[in-house]
Amino acid sequence: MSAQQALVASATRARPAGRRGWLREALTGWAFSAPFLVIFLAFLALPILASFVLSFTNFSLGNLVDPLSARFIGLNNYAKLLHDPKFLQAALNTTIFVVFGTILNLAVGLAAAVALNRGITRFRAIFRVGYYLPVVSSIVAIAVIWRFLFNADFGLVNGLLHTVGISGPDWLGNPTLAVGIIVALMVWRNFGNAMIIFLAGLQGIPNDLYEAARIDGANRWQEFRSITLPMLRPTTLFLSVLTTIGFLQVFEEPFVMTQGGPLNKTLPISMYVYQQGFNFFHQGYASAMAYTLFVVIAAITLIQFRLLRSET
Amino acid sequence: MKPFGHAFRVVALLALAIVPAACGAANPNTGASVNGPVTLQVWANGDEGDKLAASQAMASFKQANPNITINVTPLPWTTAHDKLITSIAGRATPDVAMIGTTWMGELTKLNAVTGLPSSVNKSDFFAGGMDTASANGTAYGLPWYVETRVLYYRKDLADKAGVSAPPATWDDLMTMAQKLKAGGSKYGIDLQTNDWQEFIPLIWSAGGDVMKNGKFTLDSPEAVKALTFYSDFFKKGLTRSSQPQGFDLIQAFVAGDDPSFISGPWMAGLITKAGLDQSKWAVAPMPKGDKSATSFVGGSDWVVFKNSKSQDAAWKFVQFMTSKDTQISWYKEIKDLPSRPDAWTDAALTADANLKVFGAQLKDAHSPPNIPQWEEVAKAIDDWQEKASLNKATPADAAKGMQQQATQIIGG
Repeated sequence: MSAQQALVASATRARPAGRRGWLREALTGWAFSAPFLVIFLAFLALPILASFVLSFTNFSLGNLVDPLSARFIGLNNYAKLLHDPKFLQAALNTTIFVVFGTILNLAVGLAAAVALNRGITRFRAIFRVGYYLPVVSSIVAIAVIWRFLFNADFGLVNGLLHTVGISGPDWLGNPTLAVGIIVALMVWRNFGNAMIIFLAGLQGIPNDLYEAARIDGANRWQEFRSITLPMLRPTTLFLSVLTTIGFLQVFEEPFVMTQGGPLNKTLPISMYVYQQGFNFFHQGYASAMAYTLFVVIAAITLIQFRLLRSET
Repeated sequence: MKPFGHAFRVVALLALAIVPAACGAANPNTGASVNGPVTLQVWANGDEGDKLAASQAMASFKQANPNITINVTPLPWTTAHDKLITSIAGRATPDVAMIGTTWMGELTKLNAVTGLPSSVNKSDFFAGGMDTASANGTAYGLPWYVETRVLYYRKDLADKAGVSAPPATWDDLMTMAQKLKAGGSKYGIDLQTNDWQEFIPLIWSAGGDVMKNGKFTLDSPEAVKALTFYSDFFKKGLTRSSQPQGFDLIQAFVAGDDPSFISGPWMAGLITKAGLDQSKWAVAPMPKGDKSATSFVGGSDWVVFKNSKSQDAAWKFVQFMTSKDTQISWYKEIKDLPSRPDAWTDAALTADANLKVFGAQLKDAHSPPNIPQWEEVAKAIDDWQEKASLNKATPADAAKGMQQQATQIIGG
């Protein structure tokens, strides 16, 4: 009798027999999972259901005190979205954030991982922690620093530009530059995640592949093109799924840096949901928007998972 | 990265906002008299909110009403509105709150605030201030302090640039800005790309209005004219096309970079504090448009919530804060302008030359319509104003955009 079998046997023996015992065991189980279940139902399942219902109503400021006075208006909220120029602008902004953000996030994450894996030999731990630190830092603290960096009047970047005789722009006041800075912040803040996962992927590539390539006379770049990249394919696809989902919901970076401005060029969908829901209290409309975003995310995720499955 | 994190958080917040409302039962409105000890929850915003608890006014209230304890919660202006509305939905309102002058439409639509007690004499207060505390012709609150916007300018720099008198008309203002810039300042005037409070008075001055007979008139020829005039300052490079975060207007004014701007009475103290001698700057009434020289009237009002269990004590507090004596002492402490004319006769107010300009401007100052959707309409105006200022839309198109969006907001 192995140790495990002995444990199971003793547990079976200790359990009171019969119906009462079974009931007691079930109750204990439910009691232990109750904290999670209550929180899950109250703060996740119920709100998700409630907002789904809300998205078909005209729930608005006037209904706050008496929610049941809201009327069902079918798909009107969803139809309205398609004619709301600000929503379309927000959708375009989000697309820009996702496309550029995801590509750059993967590229920088991969570069950092490769460098850490083979290039950097001294102080490796310091670099690894340094690259990962933004992921676990508070966005508010980050925003203070970044806003200082790119402040037009006394920012560090413009200060440096000034010393070489260039008068720097108002980075966050210019619509195009502001979008660039938001993307840069998103990438800087998140690439540490990609780096860690890429590192794991890199360490899973058998070393003999590289040895064989070197015997064949391949240089570093050829090794990277023909061995590293193809071997990292599943990792890359997995990361692109994660990053896309994350960036589709981008909120914090533009919220702390630009509040969506200038000219609403850095307003993502999730911030517009927030504006409509909590500044103007059109909660029906905001819910419809949130669900549209949810469906888009689900669809993109599904497509990416299909790709993932067929490629591996 | 947390997949689905934000979407879930947003829907969770949405539902949280309505769940307490659905659960809360109707609260009894017991107008208990002020006999036993009572604690009042008071929410106050901005600088006033920060200073209220430790102020002299509060000390004298406590002395006169030892039975009433006041708990002040200071809120920043940027979040006060949303917090207040959310508290109404959650039936967790304070007893008394200080509100912005454009919020009354929402609060009455939510049926959240009580009407004025009959003991209050409405004519004690400036009509413009009383308007901001009313909706649909009924008064629900009392104006605590008022403010209006006037032109601040660097007198010394204007003299040097050949501008001897304060600008009387819009053309004069444009000329002054041009001369100030030509005279060596970085800019001529400091205006915001998107601030309806700066823009709307120009519509009034041009002879237009925001709303007439329940319909917006934001695309009227007068409004287009106002927007054209406003955006010209940006197109001619006479004002900053963007204000960096943390931009300090006072420093820029003292340095002479931004030698004029339009703002409220609180700036006067800040300029003096920054060390600029009074001989070097001045305030002047708003320059006249086609029809008038109208400004914006703001400030804040006190309201008492229907959910409060101590409404009598709450009104006692509000009436104390808006009494003549408190208004004068509050002016001496914080420099907020009294909302009642009889407080203006005090020597502390009559002695100040700058204050005379504000006093005169208060006679021609409007507030925006008190409709429940005003915050949203204001955001639409801001958005289009920004487009016109940054030359992304012609003033006529931007005015049309404002009108369309605003109409849609109150229609649907």
